[in-house]
Amino acid sequence: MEVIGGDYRVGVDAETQTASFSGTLRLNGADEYAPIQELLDELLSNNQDGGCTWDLRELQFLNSSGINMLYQLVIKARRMGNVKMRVIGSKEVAWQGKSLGNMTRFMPGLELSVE
Amino acid sequence: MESPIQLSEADRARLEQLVAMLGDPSVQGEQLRDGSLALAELAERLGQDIDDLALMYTSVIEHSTGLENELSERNDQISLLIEKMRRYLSPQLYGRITGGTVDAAAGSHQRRNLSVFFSDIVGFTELTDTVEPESLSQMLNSYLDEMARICDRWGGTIDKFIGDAVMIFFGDDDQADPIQCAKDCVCMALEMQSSLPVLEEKWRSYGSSHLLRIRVGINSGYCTIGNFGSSSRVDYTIIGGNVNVAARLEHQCRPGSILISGSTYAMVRDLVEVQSMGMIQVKGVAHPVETYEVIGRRPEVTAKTQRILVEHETGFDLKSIRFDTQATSPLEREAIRDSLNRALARLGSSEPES
Repeated sequence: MEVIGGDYRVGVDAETQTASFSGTLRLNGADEYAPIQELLDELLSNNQDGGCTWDLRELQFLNSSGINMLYQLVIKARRMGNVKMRVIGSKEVAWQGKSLGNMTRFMPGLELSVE
Repeated sequence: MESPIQLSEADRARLEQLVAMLGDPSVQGEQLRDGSLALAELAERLGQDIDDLALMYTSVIEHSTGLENELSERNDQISLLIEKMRRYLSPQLYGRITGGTVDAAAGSHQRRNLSVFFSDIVGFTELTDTVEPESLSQMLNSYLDEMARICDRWGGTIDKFIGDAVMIFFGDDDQADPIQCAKDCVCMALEMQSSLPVLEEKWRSYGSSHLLRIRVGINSGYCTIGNFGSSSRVDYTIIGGNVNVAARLEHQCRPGSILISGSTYAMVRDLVEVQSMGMIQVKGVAHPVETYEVIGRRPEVTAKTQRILVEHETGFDLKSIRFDTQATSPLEREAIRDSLNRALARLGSSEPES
């Protein structure tokens, strides 16, 4: 399962329960992010026991609408109660340091690794 | 996906029900206590939503600020790069690139009626062997700087500098008038020639005694203009037989002069005085090319003459004349010749009758 645009890709590996992001995500508003949000929501809902992983290392750019979508999903995961969330980022990508760090404020149990 | 932080329809209905219930004076006892507890629970959830929203707000703002700051830094870097790039390009090409009107793909080109200018410094190669490299660099840069300044003023496009040689063309614009381009090109050449004495003085301050003279060749006609090169490195330049003719005219030109072709002369004949220099054959060009040496702008020749010879009703004042076979420009020669001819004519006409 994947969502592919002109300069981005979000793909889900069902075996490792990992969503991998790459490229540049600069879609306009919630409507344009809906297909990606549905994909991630499905991953979250289907893996409540084992949890899920977002691998954002190859995502060079994410606009405000995109980070808003991810934060909402993190809040949802926290409220689901028993989901184990893992997020992998990269130090090489400027936006990830601060913005991924904030995810742990929404969900203190989130496992963040910025490599 | 429904947002996790919005009041669901069920919550909304429950809230309305509780508010109505608690406002009903008949509700009392256990029912009242359960209603209050349910409302408190709902209020707690709403409070959590508000906390999440507040956190979301500040986090998204932080993310946006990070992006804006990075964007601003990148813009600054791009501005610096563009500023550096500006010095490597002609103002016209720079404007077209930064304005987005240039297709940088190799192979994009078109035919245009241009006036093409070539110049080089007489004896520059020998100079490189006799002057210190630092001084040579200062001399060459001061010369090219002045030539570029004059070129900009007349609207030419500097195609390239090749050592001391300068290649310029006029007509890099869809709307350009070929005749005006030819005139601007020749006027530019004249101004370049007349700027040399001042530059020569400057060169002396660098320790050179070299006589600064240049050769100029100008030709007008259709050329191919565009990007030529490989897919990774292109030059915005001009090619064609008419470019070769201009280069050949420059080689053929007498030191300190401007040699133009018949096609250029046809467009500037009302502007300048010329002297026919015969035909030359250019390799790759089928017909011989007519050549003309530019003497000067017509009004300028007159003005220079008037500076040497001041005529009045009863006679004339002849100012001092400095002539050097090497240094005196064709324009000055013409002015001197004209002044002396006029003076002789006045002398002849004023011989006392014996």
